[in-house]
Amino acid sequence: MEELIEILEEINPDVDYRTEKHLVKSGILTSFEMVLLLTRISEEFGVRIPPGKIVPEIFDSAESIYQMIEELEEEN
Amino acid sequence: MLLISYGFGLFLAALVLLYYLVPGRFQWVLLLAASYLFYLIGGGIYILYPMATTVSTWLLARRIGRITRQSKEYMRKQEWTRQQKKEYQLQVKKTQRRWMIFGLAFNFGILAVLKYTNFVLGNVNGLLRVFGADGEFALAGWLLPLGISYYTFQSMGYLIDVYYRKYEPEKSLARFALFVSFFPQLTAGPIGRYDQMNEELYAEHSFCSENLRLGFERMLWGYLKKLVVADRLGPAVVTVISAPEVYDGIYVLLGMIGYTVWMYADFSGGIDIVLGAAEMFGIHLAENFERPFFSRNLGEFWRRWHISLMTWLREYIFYPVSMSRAAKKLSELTGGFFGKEAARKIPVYFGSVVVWLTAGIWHGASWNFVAWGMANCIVMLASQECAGLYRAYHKRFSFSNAKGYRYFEMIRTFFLFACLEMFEYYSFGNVFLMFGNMVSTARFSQLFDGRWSALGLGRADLLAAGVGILLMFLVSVWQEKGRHVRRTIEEMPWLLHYGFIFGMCMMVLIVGVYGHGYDASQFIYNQF
Repeated sequence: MEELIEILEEINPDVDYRTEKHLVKSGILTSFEMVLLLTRISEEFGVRIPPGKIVPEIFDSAESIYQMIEELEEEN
Repeated sequence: MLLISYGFGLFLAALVLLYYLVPGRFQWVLLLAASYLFYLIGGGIYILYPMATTVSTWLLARRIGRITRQSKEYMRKQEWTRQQKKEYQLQVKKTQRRWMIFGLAFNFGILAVLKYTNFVLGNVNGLLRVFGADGEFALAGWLLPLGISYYTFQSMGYLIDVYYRKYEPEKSLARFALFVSFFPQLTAGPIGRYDQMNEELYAEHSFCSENLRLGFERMLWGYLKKLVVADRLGPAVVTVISAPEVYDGIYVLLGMIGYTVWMYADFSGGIDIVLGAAEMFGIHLAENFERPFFSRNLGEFWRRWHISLMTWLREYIFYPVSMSRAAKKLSELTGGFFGKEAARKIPVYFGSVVVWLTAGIWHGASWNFVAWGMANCIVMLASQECAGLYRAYHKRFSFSNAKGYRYFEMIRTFFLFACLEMFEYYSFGNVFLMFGNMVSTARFSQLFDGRWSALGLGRADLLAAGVGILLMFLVSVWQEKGRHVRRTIEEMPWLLHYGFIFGMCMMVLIVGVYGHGYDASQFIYNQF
């Protein structure tokens, strides 16, 4: 989780990712930041996120993003 | 038969009656029959095109789904190492990708040939003339099948989703045919998603007067936007924007504002009619607009305008292209010249250019739309580059976080969008000329120099359109505060509730634009 928070802070340091639950809906993660995030996740965790998973329900909080990464790691 | 005609009203009324009379398990079959009848009346023999898309997409998705199932079963029986499993899965994905690409090439190929052949030929002929050649290619005389861009994008979204294993493919061809051709959304969108629609589309719906009432009210609201606002402003707006040599100065500004309001009233009105009609059958389609003129910047605007198309482009083009091998290579290549920071941004830039180019040519086969897409792309990327600056600005100046500043941002976004729309109706060079002309020569007195009277907008027209726009604004403010407008009206005392409905009916019937020369069929977004 710490690794993911670091990546998110690289993209935008002004957000408390431990408490924020509307990263997409409130416009913190726009599609631009999303690509940076997806690329960094792929580099750091070695997982490729399919387009079907790039939805606000998953990307609205660091917790649900991390949960998805864990699931993808398990699938691999 | 299109969405605004007596024929459509009768068709819908008869269908609603039948829908709630037939046994629940046949309701979706009735909707399919009605959708095909609707297309046959509106598009005749061209129904073969959506049928070809339906059959090809269904077959290919089934094929992809079968490969997934079989490969899972096969893997379960093997005692493989993790590496062996990974290699097998890659092989399976490769085969599935081939089927998906075949489906995309076939269906987007049909769309490309029908929609863009004349655009290509026109450009080739232009080049031939430049080089002094005598002959030229004759333009193709074929018509565009009704709703081709909508049903093609909708079907291809389904195929890609099945490829990415988002859901299982639909087993029944007939059920899938209804998903592709559901009549309310066929001509003007929104571009639906299978996983969001399938439950309600095929479910049994018992009679519910609330669905009928709310659906009818939504449709009425759409007719009001279309007939009272859009169709009243439309002819005057077209006159202004198509004669820049006559309508300069302050008329450029009026054209910008008028065009934006006209388009919003027309398109969102059409979507209200579509969503209302679907609601009458208990089917809730996804919203396509979320009060875009309340956006604080262009990025937010495009998340709230034509949502179904922009989401489609973002999910199926922007992310895959930005994260593609080509984007990565480009990033590595440019990183060597411009440094690590630039290399990090290149995939986003690459994806944005492809998306806006696609958005441009989706809207129309002309250089105007290409320029419009690129202009939007440049503004979006520039504002992205300035994101850090904006953050610092908002931190430094506290007034920029005040409520009043938010209104300023909304007005700024409106005018930015209106400026970018100029690329749609003026030639590329004229956009800059007319903008310069507006800034340097616009005078209020120009409204009284005789050009206004030629627009055919009398006091009554202005009053009617003005009341319509005011209502649209008030409803948006209400919705922005989180209120469900129709439910709030429903909860009012009986007399007030029906007084509202009656008032709206009267407004549509009496103040709506009808009569000689009137062609209600021409929704701007029907041409796609």
